Amino acid sequence: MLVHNFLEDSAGRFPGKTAVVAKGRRYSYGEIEGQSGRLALALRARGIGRGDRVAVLMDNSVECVISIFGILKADAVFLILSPSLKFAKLAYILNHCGAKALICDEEKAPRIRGLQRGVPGLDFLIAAGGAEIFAETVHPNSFSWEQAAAAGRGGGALRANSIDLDLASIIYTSGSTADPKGVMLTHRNMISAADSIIKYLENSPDDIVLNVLPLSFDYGLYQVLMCFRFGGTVVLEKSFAYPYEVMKLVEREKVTGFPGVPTMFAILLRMDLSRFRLESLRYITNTAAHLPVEHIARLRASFPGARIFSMYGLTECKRALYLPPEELDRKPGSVGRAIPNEEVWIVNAQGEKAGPGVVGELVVRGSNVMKGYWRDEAATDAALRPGKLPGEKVLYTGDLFRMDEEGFLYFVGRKDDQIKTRGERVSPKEVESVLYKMEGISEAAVVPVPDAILGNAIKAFVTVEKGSMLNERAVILHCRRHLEDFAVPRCIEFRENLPKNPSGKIDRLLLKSADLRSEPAAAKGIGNENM
Amino acid sequence: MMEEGSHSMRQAMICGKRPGCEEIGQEVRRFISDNFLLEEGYDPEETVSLLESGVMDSTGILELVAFIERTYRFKIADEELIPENLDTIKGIVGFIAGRMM
Repeated sequence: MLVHNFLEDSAGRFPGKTAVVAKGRRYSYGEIEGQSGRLALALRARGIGRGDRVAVLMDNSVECVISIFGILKADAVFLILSPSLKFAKLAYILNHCGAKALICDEEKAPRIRGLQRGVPGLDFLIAAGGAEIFAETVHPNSFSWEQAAAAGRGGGALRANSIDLDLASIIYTSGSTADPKGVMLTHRNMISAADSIIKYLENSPDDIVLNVLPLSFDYGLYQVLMCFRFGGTVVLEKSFAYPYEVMKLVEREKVTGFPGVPTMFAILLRMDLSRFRLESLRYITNTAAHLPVEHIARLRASFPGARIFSMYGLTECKRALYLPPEELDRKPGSVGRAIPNEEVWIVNAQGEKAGPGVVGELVVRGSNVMKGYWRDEAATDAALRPGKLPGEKVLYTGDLFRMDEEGFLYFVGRKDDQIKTRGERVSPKEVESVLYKMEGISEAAVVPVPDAILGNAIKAFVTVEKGSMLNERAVILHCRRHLEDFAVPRCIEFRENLPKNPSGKIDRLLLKSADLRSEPAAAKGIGNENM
Repeated sequence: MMEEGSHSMRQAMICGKRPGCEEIGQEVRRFISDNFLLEEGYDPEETVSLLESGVMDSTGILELVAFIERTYRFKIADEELIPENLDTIKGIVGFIAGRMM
């Protein structure tokens, strides 16, 4: 079994059924099967073969879905890049994974100008929309979607050579260092995760899932993969920027499943939801960060017909835990237990398996656990360590948990200092290294501050060189140029000096706790606006 | 929700030659340039989608909403949180002017 068999099987069972609704148009399984097959042939004709990496830089769209399956059908490995990536990080990822081709939509052209110089290993580019602008400014070997499709016509039969131990995808994610890491996922990993989640959500072909999460985020990507697995319909939206319209869409499309992150639910709970007809909603899922207990209660009141799933996961294993909705009343603060076909436990500081009540690192054992980080042996060895059976590896998540007597797990915090904001993981080092590149800044430290909407907002403390005229606005603008939106600090505090620990390093922990005492909420946090 | 045609007509009527719209436009541009803009001196066209051009993201829209409510002292209803009212400078100015009439 391979990931693209999801599409092929559903196209065989329900060729005329709507697989994707995007921008008000409906696309059947048969159509997507045909188009992705043609794309695969076009990729093969241009030299893409087994194991080659092909990147996708697109907003949520049917073309993005077709690209995923087209790349897999060509025996290649897909990478979905966040549309908010800045040039330097985008080039870093493309170079690091050795991408041979890039598929993107027309709007991205101005942002990736001069890409060929920055990524010399990239052979060609396919643009949904016109290719001329790309050929002139981005890459001389640029083809339009139509040209690629035409090349794929009459290209003969497509025979898959991959096996399920081959990589299906690499997902880049923040680590504890400044550079992102490529999580390697095999077909087996992805199928295992998808099947486990489908099992506890009890999905059926009647499900209609609304996905506003970017497909570059594994939580968004799996909505598409899972729907294609069980033969449902996925309604794709670009973002949650206009929640009123999103709720109208739930009504219009009779959506049954709504995956979200706490930031989205916090926004929804500010609206009067009683005016929408939302009775089609069968379930709501939350992951990426913990949903406050009070929000869970209010969501249940607003969506009485929907079951609410509190979940926890990380890209390295996709999903690790879920709380069965019937346990919500008894265990509202818990993110539950292991997902089906997976085993988890907690280890104490000595690396021994810990019992109830002890705070320790969560360890995951299952066929959903990644193969490792692409070209990063040290990080791979730190995350994947020997398991129960000879030769097997289990995942050390870096997340601290506590287990109760009944085996339910409670998230405590990160082992390292990664920050979760808007459901995204941010490495303080990445933000700090951007700050250090700014002329005039001599020291920088980044800490999370609580925010009602974002979960955490990012705050930066800096010291500046003598005579420097830097102000907050200039520093934030600098960050915007080099960081994705979610990683940009919301406020900057200028200090004479920053506290150091005995080894001479800046003491982030001290800054964080001192900041919390002096300022109960983020100074400019949007969640604190009186709306 | 209003139909698109009637919406832009209303906007054209409101913003014809009224000096209020010019002031609002300047204030909105200043807010956007202080909070979102990537580069000094970049001034988006008034019909450019702020979301798609990457000027604002979804939390940026929340900040914009808070700014409008604070500055012009009215509460924005859920059903007014739509791209027609918030996604372009022209739309924002027309929306504020319409609400203040």
